[in-house]
This record gives sequence, structure tokens and C-alpha cells, in this order.
Amino acid sequence: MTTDAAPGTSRTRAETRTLETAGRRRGTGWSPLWSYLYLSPFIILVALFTIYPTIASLGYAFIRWDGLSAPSGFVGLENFRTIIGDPFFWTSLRNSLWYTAVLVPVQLFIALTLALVLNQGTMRFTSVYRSMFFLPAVMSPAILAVIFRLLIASMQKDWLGDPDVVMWVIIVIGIWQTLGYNLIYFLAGLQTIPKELYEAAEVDGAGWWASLRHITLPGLRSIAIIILLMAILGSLNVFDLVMVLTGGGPYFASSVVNTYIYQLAFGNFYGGGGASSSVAQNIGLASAGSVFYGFMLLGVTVVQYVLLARIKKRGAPAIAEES
Amino acid sequence: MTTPAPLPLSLTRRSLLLGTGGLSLGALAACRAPADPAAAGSGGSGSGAVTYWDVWQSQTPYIENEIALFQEATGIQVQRTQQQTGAYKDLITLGARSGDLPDVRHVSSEPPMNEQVKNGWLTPLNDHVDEEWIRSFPPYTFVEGSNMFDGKIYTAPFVANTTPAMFLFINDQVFRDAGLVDGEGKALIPRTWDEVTQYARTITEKGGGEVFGLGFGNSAFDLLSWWASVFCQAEAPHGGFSMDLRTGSYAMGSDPLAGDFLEMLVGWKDAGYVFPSSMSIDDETARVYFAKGDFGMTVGGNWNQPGWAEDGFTDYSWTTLIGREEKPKAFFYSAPGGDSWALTSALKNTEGAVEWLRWLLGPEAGKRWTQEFNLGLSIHPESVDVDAIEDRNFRDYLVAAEGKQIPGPQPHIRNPDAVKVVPDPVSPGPGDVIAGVYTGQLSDIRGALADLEERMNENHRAAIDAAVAEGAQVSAEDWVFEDWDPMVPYAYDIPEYPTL
Repeated sequence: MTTDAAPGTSRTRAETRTLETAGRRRGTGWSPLWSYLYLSPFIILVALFTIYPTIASLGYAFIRWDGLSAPSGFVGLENFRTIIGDPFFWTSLRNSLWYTAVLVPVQLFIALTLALVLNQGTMRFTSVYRSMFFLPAVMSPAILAVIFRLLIASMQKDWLGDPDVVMWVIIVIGIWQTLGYNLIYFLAGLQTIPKELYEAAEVDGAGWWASLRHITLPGLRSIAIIILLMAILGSLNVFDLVMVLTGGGPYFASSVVNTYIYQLAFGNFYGGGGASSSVAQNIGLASAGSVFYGFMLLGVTVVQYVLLARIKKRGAPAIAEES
Repeated sequence: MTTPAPLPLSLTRRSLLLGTGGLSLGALAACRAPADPAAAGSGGSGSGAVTYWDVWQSQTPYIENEIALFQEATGIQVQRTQQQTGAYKDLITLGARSGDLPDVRHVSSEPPMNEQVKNGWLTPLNDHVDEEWIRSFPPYTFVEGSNMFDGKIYTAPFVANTTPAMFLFINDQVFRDAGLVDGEGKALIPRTWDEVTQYARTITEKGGGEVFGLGFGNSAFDLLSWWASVFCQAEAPHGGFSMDLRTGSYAMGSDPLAGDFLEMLVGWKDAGYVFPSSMSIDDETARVYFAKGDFGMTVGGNWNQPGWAEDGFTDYSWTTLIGREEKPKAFFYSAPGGDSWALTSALKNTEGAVEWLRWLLGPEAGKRWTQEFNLGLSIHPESVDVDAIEDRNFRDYLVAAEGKQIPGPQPHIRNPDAVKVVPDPVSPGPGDVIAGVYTGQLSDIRGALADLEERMNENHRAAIDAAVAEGAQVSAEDWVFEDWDPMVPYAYDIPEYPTL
């Protein structure tokens, strides 16, 4: 029997519908129209600023258009050919992958470690530490980037102008900036693990390492999958931090796919050590880049889902057994 | 437990969805541009405030003073909106499409002037000016293809085109501290590449890791192109990276000049003469460090001056056209014509707008620009009296600029259809290549320049072909001036003044 009620309740859809109808008839009950009304601002905004541009970009990918004047000319697959043939797209993709490959494991390891430390019941001022770690996450990446630019300038280091160093600087700042989110997610996950399991393990003589290995990590598996997925997609979509810190420069050394697409869409002032100040504004080309990258990300997501589903499936009985 | 109050309206799911959809469509419709942008703003002779846009930042005190004087003299109010330079092109285009342009605005270099005229975004001045007004400007001020199209005048220059844009600034105190002074104790002014290298070495060695010979801020845009301009323009009329109008093609690969300059630039960096974080900081930050004395030489323009004056930094000198030898083999080149402000097609107060435009372009406003605010040279020669200028730095600027920029050939003067040839920028462009070479990412300097030359020439040819396909009467020959002597002011084969 299908239900749309919360787990642990047994109300069926039919029962729910009956209750709603009864409530409406009495004139005092809950009406689903209120839900639609409350949702409408969100739906309008998402439709206008997410769904419409996404669908529109599919069409723009086949034309040449500067984004301001009237679109000129259907170019077929030419925009896609240009993107695929542009070595700087692949440089940007390599940087995006590099950023993700380094940031995600390092950040998740640090976040998990900190979460384990902050989850100790005996530790004092944990809420202060949590706030401190979460603070960078609530600050605008653009403002953080400006602060770091000034900081690095005051140190008289050419870290943002050195092609061998610049990506590492961005990765370190990126790890620090978004660490708070993952820390909070892990903390929330840790608090869902029943304390009784640890007490039972202690009675059985399990030490810290055994508890971590057989209780904590398996208990975090579900949430860790979600965190990993979000961290990978978030990292592949990094934009504002790179844009403000370096603009993708010097000479594309820190260009990531989203800054590359931005450069195509808006042309000038990409800068970043002259990263590419000389590109004509072309929404069509940028849309083709977005669509192409969007499909790549979709592929990554599907592969992730399949792999993680397998891992989850394989791990589920073990967790149940351990639990 | 309280229950929610019943919905007062008789809402159904369908009506709500319809309403939501209608609201979305309404919002989209509100964003839609009018069908005919040119018709969006029709001429009018209302008596409201004149609306006015510019992109001036450091010149704000000047323009606010002009507005105050104008309002006092005429009783016409001016409502100024200061726009952002980087977004100005987009603002103009969007304003034209939505019919939301001011009466008077700064002319934007993009879209090209001929496109703006073709789109009907500007009002010709012919009905609002006379021969006397035209002749109050120097000869060759109004030129077809520059500020005139099909015999109609749309704008006029505000500043003289006799001064070059780029200079090498010397921090006099840093030079004195390094012992780089003449017999009178004044800072030495480098005249050649070797002298710049030698002075940079001396400053760096004596600076003990705290002070460097050279510095810049390249992180926000390709400022290194300015360095190329200052150091290459004295050597060849193409300045290393521009088109050589003697041949009508780019020559950054085939002429060794650009490569020699880049090798010198990389040499400076490798020797440690350049302020270490120059690629990480922006121009504004670099200017502050220069004023602080962190490095002795930097490249910029006269727009650096107001900020430095505000900070009380006046101990600097100017120079430009620095070549391998002291005697230049070429100059900076000016084009006849020019632009500043224009009347838009969205005129709401025509009389007031014309008055305001004529005020701005008049010799009195020019005089205040030069003599009082020291912001540059007025287009009106009678408004300039160098000897009467009190500010030492501004006087030095005018002296350093004198004779460094002369009239040069312009394809669009010889053939106005040449303005229809608009090559797409190449990527990576000259600024990118310079940055790539400087950071060591492009180790084969000559190869990178040869590739750039090939792509720029190809792009130029493609733009000519595209313009011809659109009906323009142009050919590659329009960019060739075989008989041009780069050391002599170019004589234009056009009337000094147009007839109305």
C-alpha cells in the first residue's frame, strides 16, 4: 500500500484526501490551496530565473548572439564545435576537475574529523567552535575573495600571478570557505546515530577505533553519500571565488569552466592577469558551453548515483547487521 | 489548537495556476523591449530637467561644478547619472531598447558609432548648431566616419588629441634614495630601454628587497599592454602590437620589436627588478604602492594624477616614447574627429539638452577643465595656457606630452566604409600573450607572437570579407598607406571643416 505520510504513520492517500475534503466542508480545515499560494513566489522565481534560462540556453546554443542586440543567424552546431575545439575550454575543465579532486577529499576529511571532535559530549564551548567554522560559509565568496586578494597583496607574494601556485591558493581558500557546511552536515549525521550502540560497544569492550569503524562510519554512510554528491557538484560549479580572486588568470592558469563560460557570455573584464580580456561577447557560444558542460555534469551525476547506489546496496545489510 | 482560517477567496487549483502563469507572463512582458527601439523616445521640447549620463569617476568634481555653473547661468536643471564604465555599453544598448535613455550622454565606443547612428540612437546636431560653432573647433574636428555620418554631425571631441595616453612614471623620492639624480639633485629621467634597465637594477639593489625598480598591477585587466605601448611605440609606427599601416597587416611576429620587448620584460622579472606581486594586484593597488615608494617606475596615464593628488603624492615625473635609442623612430598617432557627448534620440527637453551640450563643448568649460581642474588638454587651443598652470605635476605632464603624438593615417578617413569592418577580438589576444609570456606559460616567445600575428591578420581579412558581404565598399588596400612617413604629421585629404 502506498502512503504519502511521514514514516511511522499509516495514513493513506485516500484517508488524507477524505480528511482534506471534510476540513474544507466544515470551513475550518486545512486547504491545499494555501500551500500552492505559499509556494507560488518560489515557483515563479525558479521558473523565471532557473527553468526559463535553462530551456532558453538550449535554443541560444545554436545561434550567434551578443546578448543585447537582436540574435543574428542560426549557426547549427558551430558553437559546440568551437567550444570543443578551444584548448582553453579543456584547460578550464582540467582546472575544474583538479579543484574538485583535491578539494572534496581534503575538505570532507577535515570536516569529518572536526565533526567527530566537536561531537564529543565532554568538550566545552562546542557551539562557539561550530559558529567559528561555519562563519566563512555564510560570508559572500566574492567578499572573501576581495579580502584574500588584499591580504595576499599586502604579503607581497605573487601567489595569484604565479601559474604554478594560483590553483593551490584557490583550492585552500575554497576548502576553508565551504568547510562549515559539510561540518554541520556531518555533525547532524553523527547525532542521528543512537547512543545505545556506543554504550553496547563499550560493554563489549570496543575501543575508540572499533566504534568509529563499526558504528560511526557505517552510520554516516547515507549522509556521507549525499555530502559527497553535493561537494562534487558544488566544486565543479565553482565560480565566484575564482572570478573575484583571479578572473581565471594569469593566462587561463586558474580558469574553471564557469569562469570560461562567463567570459564567453560577457566578453571584457574577465581579466585575471590578462586571462582573456579580448573575447567578444557571445551568449550563443556561452550557452553551447553551458549545455555541453551541463551534459558532462549530468553524466557525472548519473555515474555517481549508480556507483553510490551499488555501494549503498552492498553496505545496507552490513549496517543492519552491525546495528 | 487553532486551525487556519479559511481562504477568503474562492480559489481553485486551476485558477491559481492560471493566475501564477499570468503573473509570470506579465513579468516577462514587462521585460520585453519595444518593437522599434529608435521610436521609443521621440523628440520633445519639454521644460523638465535635462537628463544626463556620463562615466566619469575622478572627474566628478569637475562635472558637478559645470552642472552648478550651468544651472546658475541658464536656470535649466541637469539631472546627472554617473554610470559604471564597464557596464556602459550594455546600459546604452538596454536603454535604447527600452526607450530609457537620457537627453545627453557620454558617447560609448561600443557598439561602434556607425552602429549607434544606424540604430537611430542619436540625434544629429545639424539643426542645433551653425557654421560659427563648427569653426570654433580646430580643423579636422568633424570628420565623416568618426563623428559625422552621411553629412550629419553627432558629437564633437572635448579633449585635444595631441597628447599620448601612456606614460612611464618616475617616483622621484625612490630615484633620489637610489642616487639616481642629476647635477642639480633632480631625479634622472630614463630615455632608453637600457637606461630603464640600469635604473631598475640600481633601485632594486639599493632597495634591499624592500624597494624594486619597476611595478604594476595586472590582475584586473591586461595592463602590460600599456608597457608595450610606452616601450615599443618609439621604435615603429605599429608599436609592436598594432597594425602596421604601411603594409596593412600585423607584424608582431615578423618584426622582432615585440619579441625584443617581451624578452626585456621577462629579463626584468627574472632579475628581480619587478615588484613581486605585480601580477596579483590591480592597477589601483599598484598606484598606491608606487606612491608609497615600493617601486620606482610604473606605467599609467594622466588619470593617475587626481588620486595621487588627493593622497598628497606629488613627488613624481613623467616620460614616454622610450625606445632602444633616445631619438624616436616613430610617435604616437592621433586620428581626426573624436567624440565626447551626444544628444540621444530619446530627447525630452530638446532646447535644454542642446544648451547643456553646447555649454560642455564650449571653450569656457574647456578652460576650466585644463586650467582649473588640470584634468587634460581642452580641444579649444585658446583655452590652454601652459605657463599659467600652477600645478607642477600637470605642467610636467603637458611638457612630457608635447610633440609625442602627431596625426597619423586613418583608413576610415580615406574610406568611411572602413568603419563597417569590425574584426572580432582574437583569443588569446595581445594582452593575453604578454601575460602568458611574462608568467612563463608561453616559453616560445617568437612562436607565440607569430601565431598571434597570423590569427590577427586572418581575423582582419575575415572582417573585411564580412563587411563586403554586407555591401560595404572596402578592401584590404584601404589599410595600406605605402607613402606614409611616420616621422611627419599625416596630411588628410579632406576639408578642414564640413558645410552644414
